[in-house]
Amino acid sequence: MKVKLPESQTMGNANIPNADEIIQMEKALSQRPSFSIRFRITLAFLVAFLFSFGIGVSSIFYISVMNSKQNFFDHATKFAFTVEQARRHEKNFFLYHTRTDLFDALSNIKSAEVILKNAASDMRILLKHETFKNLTNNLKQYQAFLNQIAYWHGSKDDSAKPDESEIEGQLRIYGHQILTDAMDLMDQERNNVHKVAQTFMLAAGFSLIINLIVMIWVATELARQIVQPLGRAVQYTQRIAAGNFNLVIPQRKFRDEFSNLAIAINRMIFELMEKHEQLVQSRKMAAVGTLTSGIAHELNNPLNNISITTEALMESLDDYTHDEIMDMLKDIFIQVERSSATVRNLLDFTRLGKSKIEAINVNDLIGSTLKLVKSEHTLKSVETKTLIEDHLPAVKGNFRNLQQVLLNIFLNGIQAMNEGGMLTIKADKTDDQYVKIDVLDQGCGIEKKNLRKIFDPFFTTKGVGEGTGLGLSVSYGIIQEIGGKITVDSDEGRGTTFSVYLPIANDSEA
Amino acid sequence: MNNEQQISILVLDDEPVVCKRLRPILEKKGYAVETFFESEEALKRFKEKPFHIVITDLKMKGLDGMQFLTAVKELSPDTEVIVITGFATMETAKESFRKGVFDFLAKPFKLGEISDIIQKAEVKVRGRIS
Repeated sequence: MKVKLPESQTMGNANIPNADEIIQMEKALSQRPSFSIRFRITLAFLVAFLFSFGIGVSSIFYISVMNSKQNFFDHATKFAFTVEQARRHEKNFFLYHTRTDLFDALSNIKSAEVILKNAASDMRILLKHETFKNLTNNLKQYQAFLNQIAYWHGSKDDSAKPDESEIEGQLRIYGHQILTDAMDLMDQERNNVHKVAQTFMLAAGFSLIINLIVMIWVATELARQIVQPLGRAVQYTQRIAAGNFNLVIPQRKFRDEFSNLAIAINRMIFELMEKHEQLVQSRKMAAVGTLTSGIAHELNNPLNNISITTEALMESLDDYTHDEIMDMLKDIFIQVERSSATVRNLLDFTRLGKSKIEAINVNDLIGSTLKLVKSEHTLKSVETKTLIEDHLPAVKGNFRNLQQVLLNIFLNGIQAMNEGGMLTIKADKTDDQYVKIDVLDQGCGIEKKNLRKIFDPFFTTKGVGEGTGLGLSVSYGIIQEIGGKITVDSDEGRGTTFSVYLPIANDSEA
Repeated sequence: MNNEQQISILVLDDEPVVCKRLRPILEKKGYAVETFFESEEALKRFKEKPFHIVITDLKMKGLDGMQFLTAVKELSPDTEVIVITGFATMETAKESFRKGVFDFLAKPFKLGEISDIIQKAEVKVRGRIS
């Protein structure tokens, strides 16, 4: 028995998409937030630019820092030089007691003071407050002592004159202190400049590496984001070419230019679907043509039986016994049944409409299809043998479509056996996934070079007007559509075996 | 008519109902009737004893009607063959007549039609006998 499924469960992925589904999928594809490739490329370049910009700005900053360090270093050098100069004059004064030396020393110290004052703003930032204060104080002290000497030197009043050697000692101490501090400052600044330069180089190196990593990441990510959907698009086309007409469903949370491609593919699938249905229909009509002779035979014979039996009864009812009359009436009844079954089969086969996925009993499927070809195979003296495994699970598919598939294969097998022979139909469960139906004929077989082409549309080995070359290609499409497969093996001159793998219907669906 | 030789008829149709119905009707009309469902057996019987009239179906398993009537005409050219067929096409009709068939009748037929044809064939057969 065919088991009809509830409506909701027939909308499996194997179903043929309809216009509503197309619109629904289009909405799903286009209603996601937009994140276009153009936007992503712009964003990536913006990030890269900002990064480079950061590197540039930090370089400028470092160079300005180095510049100020260099200035400071220059000041320190100048300062140290002037102090050194002052000390030289100081020494000369104590050696030769020339007043000019004393004044030169004083003017040099003044210059040093000016230098220190000018550089104060720069230095205060960089030096410890303590150091700067000490330096200024020492300088002041030194100047004070020099002034003291200048005051007393040349003065005739020796009474109040302080001990010159004591002052000289003090001067030496302070002078030495200032010079040492100035030298330390110079060293310190030199080290600082060196350090900053090193940090800058390190930072530059780091940013280069990070920049490289960021660029590689951006490039690969962009490439991935473009190549991945492109790969998917290729898969879709291959899948469609193989006859799987499932719609493209949204794979990501956002939409971009590829979403438009997906929408276009879906529309194409819809168009293809319609063409495919037309093809199926035209093939059905062609098959009906092949069957016409058989159908005429199948209808006219029971009609004739009914006609002559009724006529016999009407002409001489009284001549027959009660049992004979009963027998004749039974004949009429049986023949009416026989004709209506033929008509029903024909209608089932040609009826238009959506293919509904249902759970199908393999026994029914094979039995009913064999009935359709009965006149064909008895005519060609072909015997049929069915070996169907007990308790086969129901398979998933559309009854009429699967009937059409088997009909095509049966008719091919029968037509291949011009000399008569045996058409064997085997059905068994291969694994948890499929029920396999093997159709073995003992006919002429198929040439190796044609074996690959037999599922191609319009490929036929039959003469003009005898075959459309659509039967097997349509069958292939039907089986692909439900997620099954169809294979062929042929031994030229010995026979051909077609194997149809039908997906087992889930328990929930059966 | 009673004094005349009885006309023998062979009916061959794989539809048992046809044989079952025609036999008593034709016997009542005074013919010697033999019916067969299978062409091979019918041919075997015909080889043993030629009939005056043969009524045969065309579409049959094994030896089909056309082959059977060809064999019958070869064995006994005087035998009149009446073809009854469920699928009458111009081609089969032409071929039948070319092979010397007496008449060609499409199923479903009326008992009156086949009786008339048999009667005409009988006249022809009797004309040849006398």
